[in-house]
Amino acid sequence: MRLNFSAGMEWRADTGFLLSGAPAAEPELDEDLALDAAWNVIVHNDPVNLMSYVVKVFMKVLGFSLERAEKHMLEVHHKGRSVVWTGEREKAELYVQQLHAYLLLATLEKSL
Amino acid sequence: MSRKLTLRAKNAQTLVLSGMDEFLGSLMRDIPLLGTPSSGSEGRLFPDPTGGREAEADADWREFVRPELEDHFALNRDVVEEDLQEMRDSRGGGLEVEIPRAHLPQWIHALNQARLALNAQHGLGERELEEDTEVSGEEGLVLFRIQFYGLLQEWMLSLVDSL
Repeated sequence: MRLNFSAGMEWRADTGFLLSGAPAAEPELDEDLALDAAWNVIVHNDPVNLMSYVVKVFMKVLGFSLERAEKHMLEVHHKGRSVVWTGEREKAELYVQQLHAYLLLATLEKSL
Repeated sequence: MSRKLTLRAKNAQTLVLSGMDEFLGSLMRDIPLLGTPSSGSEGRLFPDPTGGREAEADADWREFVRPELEDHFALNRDVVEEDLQEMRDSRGGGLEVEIPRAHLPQWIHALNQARLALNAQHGLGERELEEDTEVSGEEGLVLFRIQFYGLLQEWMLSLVDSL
């Protein structure tokens, strides 16, 4: 599997990586996707990243509301991981790249 | 003479971090250096996207994505380093440094790099990072650095609406 990380990626000096054409609202699972084509973006807990920082990163990168960002942050904190986005692989890779740009421990894995 | 570490607004565009003694000043100067990737920290600063499940995808990532991330991280550290070059003694009030509000995202990022790199290099866990944990010696100093940088990060995060 080759990565396709360049499509749709935009770099801005002031804000870092942006997904051009990324949804303004909260990203959701594309219901047209076949299940075997869906990929999860997972954020893992680490003891260093501040909770307030993680919330702001979720709002910035994933377009979450404050409430949704806090819910996922707490899930990461208490359960060790949270699935923050599900969809096609290419977009999942772009989200992982953005989350890595903010130093969050993020991975992608195939949705079961 | 005791000094109070303070982050205050000088004007609409600039903040001033003041009240630092030489020791805290040295910790400040270390921020860009600590975040520089090393053998002990690069695994945390540049994690593989599949966590090792897909070797080819992880290798591609290291070849094509990591250089962009390295440039991005270095840019943030450079901004902080330039601001720190202007750190000066405020005539009895300790060391102070001016931080343009526009640089807050870069400061927050560079502080995070430093904290994550320190933690990765010294292998501190959840227990050691709890505020009431007693540690001493080198580990205590590392923990103090992580918490000092975390305090600055919290202050700066409270001043930005968005990263």
